Amino acid sequence: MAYRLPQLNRAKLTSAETISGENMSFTNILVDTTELPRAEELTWTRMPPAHRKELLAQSAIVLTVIVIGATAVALLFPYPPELAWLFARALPALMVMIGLVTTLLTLARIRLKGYALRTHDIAYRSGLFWRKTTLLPFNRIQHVEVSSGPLQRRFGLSTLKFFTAGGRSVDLKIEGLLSTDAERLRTHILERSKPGAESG
Amino acid sequence: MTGASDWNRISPLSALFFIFRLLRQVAPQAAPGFVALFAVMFSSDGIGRVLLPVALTAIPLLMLGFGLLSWLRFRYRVVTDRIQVRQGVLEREELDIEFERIQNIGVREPFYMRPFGLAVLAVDTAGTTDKEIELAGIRKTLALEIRTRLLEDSSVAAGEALGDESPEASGAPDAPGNGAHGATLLLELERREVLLYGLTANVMLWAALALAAFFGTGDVAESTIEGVINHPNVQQAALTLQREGGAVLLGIAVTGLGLLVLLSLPLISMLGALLRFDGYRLTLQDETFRRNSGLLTRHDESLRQHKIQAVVWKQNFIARWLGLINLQLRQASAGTGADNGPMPGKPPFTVPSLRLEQAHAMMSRFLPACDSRTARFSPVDAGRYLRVNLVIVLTLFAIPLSLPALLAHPAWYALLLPIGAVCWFVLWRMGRAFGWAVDGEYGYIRRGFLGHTTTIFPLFKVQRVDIRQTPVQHRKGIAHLTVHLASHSLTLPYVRMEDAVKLRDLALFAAESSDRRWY
Repeated sequence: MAYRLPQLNRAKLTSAETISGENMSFTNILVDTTELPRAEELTWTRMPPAHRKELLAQSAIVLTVIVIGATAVALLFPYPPELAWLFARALPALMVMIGLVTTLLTLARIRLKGYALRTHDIAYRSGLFWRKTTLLPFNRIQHVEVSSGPLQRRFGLSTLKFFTAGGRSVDLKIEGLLSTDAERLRTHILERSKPGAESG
Repeated sequence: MTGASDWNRISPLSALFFIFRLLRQVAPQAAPGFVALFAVMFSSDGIGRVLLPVALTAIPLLMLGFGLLSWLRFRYRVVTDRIQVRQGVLEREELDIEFERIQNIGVREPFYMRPFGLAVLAVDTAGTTDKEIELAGIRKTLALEIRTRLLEDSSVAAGEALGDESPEASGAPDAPGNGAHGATLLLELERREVLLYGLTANVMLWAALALAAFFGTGDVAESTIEGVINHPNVQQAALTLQREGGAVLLGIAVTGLGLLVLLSLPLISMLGALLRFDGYRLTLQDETFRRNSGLLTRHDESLRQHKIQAVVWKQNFIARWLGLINLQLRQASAGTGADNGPMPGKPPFTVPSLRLEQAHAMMSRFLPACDSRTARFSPVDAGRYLRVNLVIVLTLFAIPLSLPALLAHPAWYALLLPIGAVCWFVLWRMGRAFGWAVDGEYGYIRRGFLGHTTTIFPLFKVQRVDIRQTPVQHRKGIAHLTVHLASHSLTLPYVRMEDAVKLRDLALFAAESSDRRWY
């Protein structure tokens, strides 16, 4: 799937206003639950290819460190000759296996990661085994933070963090966005999260 | 009131207040350090002998110095629309709080200040920042005056003045010092009801008692006493003791002590309830709930209706047996945003010892138009919850059991049967207790074991919603739903996916279509 910055596709997504009709007070609306905008019918935006490169680079670095460490142990540790197969063959093989498996898992995880912007909220899904979908209404956001680590900067990527009330840490974290997209998302969402922001 | 623009001092008695506050803040972190320190000091070598007297004089002196310095450095003033404080021993700090940002004002009278007519005025701005001002050791009349002034200047939470000095005598709905508008008395508890709360407040103490019986601490003590009664011959007993030696004596002492501690737990809990809730009065004025209680230190806590994020309806099995319900009003927790570390949560605003009808009536006060009678709960997939968790728990037990089973005898695995039976019962009860409901504009999430804990929250105050599922759960159409409120988070496991989605979409719709203030 080609990467693109999500445009607000109003034809596809039902906004809360279309449910409540006029600008009525919410209190007395009778809600037909089958008419509610369903978060399931979202078009997900996947992470940019640069994110995959970044994570591959990350696992390459980690693997290199481990391999260097293991080599150092194999060279310096005075193991008895009859255990040579363990230190010279089995251990390196195991390392490579672990490296391959974690890399494959990382790649699979990226495929499942994605976010979707709606008129009033942002959705984010992630996780390989525990698939998690978070929905965060814009008007509950306290502040938004954009950060990027050294490796991320190399690939022009950023992490977007959302904070709501009551949470003691980040409430929603989207890693691996293109820095330009992260900036644009932040501006857009902050605009929306202002009290009384209309959804034109 | 004192001059409007000059800085005021507080009473020297506040030094005590600062010392206590320091102890409260430092003690949990410093305890291990102190243990180590004492271990060194009481060791008999030279360093210990020198350190001990030094530490024993230095620590109290340091604390006294800290308290006095804190008092000397503390200044406050109330100007037209704000309250300002200068404080700090090592680094000076100036706090400046505008009246309109104040969330709560509490006046409490610690026992060491009460005889002198002094009080502590606590001004809380939780929700926006963590700034909190405590004016300790000002005259009670002044504290009340400041509060009235804050009240007039803004729509800050406050209402009637401090309750009657003697809790028993306060029968009239309008306490002395009442403002212009009358406050409605919602609840007044007798001492008996407060003591009952002590019994129903904490399930853990009952669990401890049950556990004690299970492990036979009770049995040993019982049989010992029986033995003494059956053999009244003291000489005989002395002979037995001589024969059996000190081990028996030690055993008796230990079990006796254990039993004593366990039996005193409910008493301690009741004493705690009495200290905190004696003379409990709950009043309502101008949408502000006010709790006034306490045996030694009088607590005066206020909470505005629209600040309630959720109400927790608690009824454990003791409470169920007694037909009582405890309600807790939850506010946005102070640790807002990223910059703040974990903050020790304030104890929740508790409305204890309610009978069923009373509790329902209270609910509609706390959450307008909330009719807790009509909520109809939908279950979760309790069968799957039971099966999956039982397998997990039994696997966890089977692994350590494999060692004796393989080394000694496979019969060790038979232990899994009673373990499985107990786990089955617990998981069966817990799975059945989970439930959710939507009634009007309120969501209900229930959990429990022998009793029930139901959280009722306005749907529009929901902060964020998570849905989690494994691939297997995805196929079976089951998910875990987590609703994050500004006060706390609630998880509903093994709920049908369509239910999870429905509840989530309802909450999101309510949150996104409402322009009401949620905080």
